[in-house]
Amino acid sequence: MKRGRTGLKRQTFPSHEERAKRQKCRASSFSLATSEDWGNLPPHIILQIFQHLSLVDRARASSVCRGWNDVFHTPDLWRRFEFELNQPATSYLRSTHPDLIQQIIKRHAQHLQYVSFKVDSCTESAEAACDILSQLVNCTIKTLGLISTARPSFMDVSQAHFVSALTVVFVNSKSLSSIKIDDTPVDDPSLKVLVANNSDTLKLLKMSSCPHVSPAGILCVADQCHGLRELALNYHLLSDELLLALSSEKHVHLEHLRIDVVSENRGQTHFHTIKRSSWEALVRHSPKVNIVMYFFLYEEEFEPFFCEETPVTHLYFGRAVSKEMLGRIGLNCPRLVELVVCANGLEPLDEELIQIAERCKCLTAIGLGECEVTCSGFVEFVKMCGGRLTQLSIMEEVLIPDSSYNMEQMHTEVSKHLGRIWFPDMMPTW
Amino acid sequence: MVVNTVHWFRKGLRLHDNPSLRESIRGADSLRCIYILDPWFAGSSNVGINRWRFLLQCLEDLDASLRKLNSRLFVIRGQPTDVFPRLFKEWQINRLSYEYDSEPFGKERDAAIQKLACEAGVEVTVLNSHTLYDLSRIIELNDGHPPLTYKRFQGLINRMDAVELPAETVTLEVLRKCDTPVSDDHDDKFGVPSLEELGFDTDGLATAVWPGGETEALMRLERHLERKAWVANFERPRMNANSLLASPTGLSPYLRFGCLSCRLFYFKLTDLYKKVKKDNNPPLSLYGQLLWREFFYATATNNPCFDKMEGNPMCVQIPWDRNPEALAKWAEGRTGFPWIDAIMTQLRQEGWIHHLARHAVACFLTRGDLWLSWEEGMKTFEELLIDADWSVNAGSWMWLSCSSFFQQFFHCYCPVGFGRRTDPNGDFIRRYLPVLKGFPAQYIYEPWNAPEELQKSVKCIIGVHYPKPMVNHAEASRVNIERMKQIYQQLSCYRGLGRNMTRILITSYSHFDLTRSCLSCSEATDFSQATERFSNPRKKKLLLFLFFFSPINCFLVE
Repeated sequence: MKRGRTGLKRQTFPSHEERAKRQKCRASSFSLATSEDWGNLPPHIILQIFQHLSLVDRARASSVCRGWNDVFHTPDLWRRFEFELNQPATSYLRSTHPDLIQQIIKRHAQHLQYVSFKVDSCTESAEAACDILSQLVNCTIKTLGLISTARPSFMDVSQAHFVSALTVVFVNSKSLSSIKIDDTPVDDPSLKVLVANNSDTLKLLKMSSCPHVSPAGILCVADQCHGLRELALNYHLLSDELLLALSSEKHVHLEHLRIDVVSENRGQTHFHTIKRSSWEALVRHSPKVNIVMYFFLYEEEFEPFFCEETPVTHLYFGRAVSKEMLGRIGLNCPRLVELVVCANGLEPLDEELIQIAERCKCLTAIGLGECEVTCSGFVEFVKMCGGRLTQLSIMEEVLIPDSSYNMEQMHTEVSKHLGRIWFPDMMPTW
Repeated sequence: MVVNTVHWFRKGLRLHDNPSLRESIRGADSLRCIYILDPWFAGSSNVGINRWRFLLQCLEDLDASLRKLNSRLFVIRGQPTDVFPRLFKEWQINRLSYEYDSEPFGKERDAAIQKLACEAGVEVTVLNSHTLYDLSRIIELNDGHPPLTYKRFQGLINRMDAVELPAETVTLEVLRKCDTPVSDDHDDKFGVPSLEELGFDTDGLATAVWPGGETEALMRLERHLERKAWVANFERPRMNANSLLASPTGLSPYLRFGCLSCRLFYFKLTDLYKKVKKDNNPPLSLYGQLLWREFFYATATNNPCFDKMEGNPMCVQIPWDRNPEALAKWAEGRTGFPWIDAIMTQLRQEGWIHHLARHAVACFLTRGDLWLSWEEGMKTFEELLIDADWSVNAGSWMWLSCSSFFQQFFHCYCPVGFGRRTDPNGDFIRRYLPVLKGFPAQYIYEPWNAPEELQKSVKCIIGVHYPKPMVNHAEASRVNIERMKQIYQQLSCYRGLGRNMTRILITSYSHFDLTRSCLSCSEATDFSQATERFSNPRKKKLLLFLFFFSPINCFLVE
């Protein structure tokens, strides 16, 4: 049809000279027949262009001609995919088109490497995700994420259905590297299957709030997957044995350990303690490890924590935490890098903050919600930390002017010590 | 030539500081002040009884004030585009005035009216008096963009010229040469309607806690200033249990309807401060309430999608849940959390709640517990809250749900703890939820934890006489904080590093989150490839730094 030009059917990548010649040719004939160029762009150019398009635009472009359609189905464009599964009754967002899903399963299951499923709060969406998972038999998935964008709807799927779907991927992929399955009904047997097939490649496992997993189940993962660099789980799964397993000689350095400590019903959860020696072993083995703890407890449930030195680096308190506990943290958390406190109470935290400034020399970020700190105490805290505080997020209501500083003076002092302009966080007063 | 002028009241329901009205009267032979009851005007379709009552009281007050000036208010029903051509002809109007409305729908409506006026040969006078400043000037100072943070806004305010003085009040003297033709059947044709006439059932309606009108507004202003002078304290007032109750010096509804001029308030505050503190440089914080209002007007004025998430360039797209049943429980005060329910009850009964109470219920509805869309909350406030207007309401909801303005999201208000810290005794709860009044302070914020015998003895079984809590707060807040974090992480990867960066304070990002979110904008398979996408070498260096040296993202503050 077009003389002297490579049609898309050839699909070979031309040599340098050939390309240069063709470019010259094209340049001269460009002015004559510009409309003919689009259909004859070489596939690697179309591929590059497609990579910049959104999925919707790409899908539309693929219906233009067979050549473009072929490029649309190039394996490279299907390495990563995010399935969005939403129901109109429960979400404002659109879903991935069912026809597209079918096409992917049929033609691209074997190309998928980085896959995530985003589901809304409807059980149907989570079930649809499981159905898709069950069909990914010929896959070599490296990254898998199951993400609930609202309520954890995976928990409403029957455990048997979920586990069998997940197992399909665990068994067939054999090269899973990152897995995110928080808030799902995954259980010990599925973890065993995961380990049996992917122990060499597994680097990252995020499974916070998976109530059907036991400490033994997670220990199996730690024991067998020596490349594990990141782990996220709930406190009840944490054990001395786990920490020791992660610190064994065969294990790589752990980079990130996230622990969620949640109490849903007041006074009904009992929290075991972890031995100081286990923590020490972990830190000895992985000196740069980030230990991140999220607390969602009632004030009186904190007793078992921070009684001894704990190597935590990032602390988040989602509910109120007592003054006494903040004192303990100052005393026992020398590696602390970031501290976020949602709420405390009506007594100034000056002393506790100053102690934290003194003893937590690595502290670079702090956030305070409903607390109280006098302006003088706060200025003292900032003076002691100095420029290392890169994130200082204090709600305006927290700071109480006193005889030494009013709000304006405090801004100036704090900005001076930080070496940059600083203001507290404000909320609209309407 | 005879000059017949019409002044169109929309907001600005006052005779003091009304420059467009004053301008209109100059040289006019006749004056008619009108108010158009337009049931289809965007925002007014969803209006509850308290707001209607407040408006009607404002109109009654205006009418009474105008009567003293030998004039009257003309209330006309219909849509402005239908009403005006008719009036221009009937009354032989050649001059029209109104106060400038900065809201996008207001601007659209006014553009249509201006066109009609032009066609009918009517001269239009529009002057600004609803905001302290000319908003277009503020935007101009910011390179044509609305300021996206309050701090930036304050910086711009510091560079603006002084606020214009309020215009002199319209008096008998001013209206000396101006006549208002009033017919005998004026009350029938143009009288202020009653709530019943508008179709409301007023059986058992309590007296208004917030009476509308300019007269009331000016009286409150005096009381407000008196109290400030007496306390001699211009700092932010400390929150206590009493703050939750409606205050006789509260001014927000009057500012919203324009019964009180913001500029008058501004200058009176300034004068008082200078007198009491003997200091000629009042800090910006003195005008907190007024400046927040100004800020939201400024950010909204050029954005017709300001009150929506979809299509709103300044709103983060958050996958809110859709759940009408849960929404109804929140809106009707049946969540099972006394603190939330009492606030929503006060809101429904009286039409006003303290700003910290607004934070509590907004957080509960959106990012704290229910994970429902802020637009739903905004619509509920629009219906019930007397001082809610389009810009301020939408803006505040976006702020409180962490959908915009770079608001930190780590802080979540606890529906039990926050209330307890504000009012330890629980009197606020007992006042608005009398069914719970028997509970002692220990349990009143979480009555479901009270032992059964206690519940029986106070004749309030949880689950029977008062609902059980609709969510488990620990669980819900845990899930939600994770969602917010995910969203902001994806955002930060999309936008790259730079001025538009959101400040995120929450624990370190695991590699999964970073690679996954980077995957959305590139084909990256690991960190090195992810950094390649940021061609700017400084960005790339900083990103590498973040990955390997600093667990927290140290984003540049604007």
